[in-house]
Amino acid sequence: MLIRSATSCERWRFKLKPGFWHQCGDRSQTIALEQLKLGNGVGVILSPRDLTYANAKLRGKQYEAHGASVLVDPQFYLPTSSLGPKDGWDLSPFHLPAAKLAKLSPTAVSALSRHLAAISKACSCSGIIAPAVILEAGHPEVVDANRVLFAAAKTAGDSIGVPTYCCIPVGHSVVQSSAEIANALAAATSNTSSGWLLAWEFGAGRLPASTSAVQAFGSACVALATSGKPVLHLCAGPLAILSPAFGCKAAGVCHSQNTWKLDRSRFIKKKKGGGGGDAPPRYFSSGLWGTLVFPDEYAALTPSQRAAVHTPTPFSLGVRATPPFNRAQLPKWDTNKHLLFAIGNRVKKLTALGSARAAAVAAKKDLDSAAGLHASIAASGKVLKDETAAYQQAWSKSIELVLAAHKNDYDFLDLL
Amino acid sequence: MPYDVPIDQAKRDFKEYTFVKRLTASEQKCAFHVKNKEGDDLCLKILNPTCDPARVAREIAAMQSITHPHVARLREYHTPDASSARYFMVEDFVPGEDLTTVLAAAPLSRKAMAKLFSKIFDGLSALQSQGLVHRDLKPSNIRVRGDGTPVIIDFGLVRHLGLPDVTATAEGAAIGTPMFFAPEQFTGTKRDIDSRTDFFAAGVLIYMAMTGNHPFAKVGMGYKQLEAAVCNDASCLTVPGFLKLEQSVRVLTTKLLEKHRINRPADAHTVRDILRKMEV
Repeated sequence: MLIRSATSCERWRFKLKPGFWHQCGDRSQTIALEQLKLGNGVGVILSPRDLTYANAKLRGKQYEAHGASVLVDPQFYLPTSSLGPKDGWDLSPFHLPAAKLAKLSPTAVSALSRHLAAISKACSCSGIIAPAVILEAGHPEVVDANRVLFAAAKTAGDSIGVPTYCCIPVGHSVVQSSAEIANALAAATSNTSSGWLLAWEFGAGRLPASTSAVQAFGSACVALATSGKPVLHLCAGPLAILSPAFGCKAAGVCHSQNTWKLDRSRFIKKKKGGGGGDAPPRYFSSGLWGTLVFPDEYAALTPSQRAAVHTPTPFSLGVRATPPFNRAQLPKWDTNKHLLFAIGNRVKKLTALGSARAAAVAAKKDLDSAAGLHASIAASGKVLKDETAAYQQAWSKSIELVLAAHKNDYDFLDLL
Repeated sequence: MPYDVPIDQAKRDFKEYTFVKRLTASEQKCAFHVKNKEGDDLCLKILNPTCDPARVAREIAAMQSITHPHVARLREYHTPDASSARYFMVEDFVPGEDLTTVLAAAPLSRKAMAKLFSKIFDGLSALQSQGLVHRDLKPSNIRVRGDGTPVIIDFGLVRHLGLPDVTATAEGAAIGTPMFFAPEQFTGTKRDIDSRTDFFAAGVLIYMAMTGNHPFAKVGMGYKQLEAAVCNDASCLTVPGFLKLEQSVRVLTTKLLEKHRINRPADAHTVRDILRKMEV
């Protein structure tokens, strides 16, 4: 048996880099590299669903060369879904129903373990994310499956000397009840992990606008954070402003809207091509903590509103606070890069505060200010599209409620 | 009733040891301070034959791999087989006194408590790193050497989380000593037991060390009343004796005594590090 004393254990701890992580979805690997070169981001998460194995190996080396930590999320979320891993990963033999994963033979577990170790080394990973199936209420076989999958990953991590992170994808059937959430998280955190990667399935809508839904998520984050191990909020999107506020050390963000929460549609093959067509660019404003259509809505604002909305990044240099405004100032792909840079900046600032409570207070102030700006724009008779003003107040309120309900937890986080 | 083996019979059965004295017995085992041929001080525990021999054998095997200054080393473990009907274990003997004696002097200072419990959590981290849960952490299972160094002893109920459990009870988690049970030991199943179960017991011990009182047990309380208090009553955190403690001690103790294990710290190292900060 492998003997690991407490001292040797310490080497494995807290290797998860705090801050902004690029969580690569479809066609975002080059963007991640470009952002790293500009100093935005501390790590990159690759996924077999979005990239061939050969490309992942190449990208891993590139990211590592720019000082980023690299992880591969095996994405077993819906293990039998129609959109499985791309070419070369060889993970398909393990994409089995949860009940079968829970009863994997020791030989199969060893094979998976060896495979995960090989992937980790080949892709220059700093750790291993354990595969995990989306947790569902009333499905104990999923808990069992995830335990088996974690054990395989842990063996792999130990064998190559890197930390193993437990992925906790919390399904919509679980997030409805605080008791279900507590039981799901308690079972997942039984694993001797070096940290937690939390993905949360909010209800319908681009971003959650329900105070209670965000509060439940926040409470879960705080519970995980007070375990004493680092938490990375997966599929964070603009919600990443809340990640440090709720005690998470890191947030994984991609520009694609179908990665702004745990979204099952990502794993189901679409009948037609999809894509956004020729939609007008959405300009992300840190002041609004949301998007507005560029140049139409942007141009319609008063000069003072525009000044408040204006968010300069290296990818929006063409966008000025003063006229003229035209679409050429913000090419389509630059809107995505701009969004990542703006969110990354804010996550970096909040993480740098070094205290979850301070981050919560700062994030609440930002969101209150955003809600005020939205209100002043609405009061001047302008209605921004995409319900972009729908969630800031709810998020602010959820911070307030989580801070109040978890006072001792925030005090505990200050002791860490 | 404690399991008893007359010392003369023990001497006959274990001729390879020199018997020094009888130690405190429990329902599961009868214990003796012995010396081996090399003169090492050891603790010989003869297990009650009514125990299921398979119950802890595999977990004990895992224990043998741990070498840590705050965990008693398990040297030998034997279950009945064709060669011998003996059922015993041999641990290092830890000279000193039980934590019970130390707690009798409670309340301790913050510094003294932190110095003691940071080492206990260091020992728990060694167990945790091997996937082991003690399940019976209590004052009599922590020896304190003359220099104040604590050592966790008695792994008769230890469980390896990575192995299928073979305990006698099919589903229940109620193994150990109720006074130091976590809520999940009263109400949960074996699947609900993990390192955080030990951390709850350690939280009870810290509470006792800092206030001089047990957080839940009262004189004359029955099992059911104790269960209700442990599972549902948090009034121990609002009594003056607790509220007057320094904030850091209150915050840590409150976290360790959380009713649901998801709200407790999950990492012994983390708790140890917090306690180390309190040592100064």
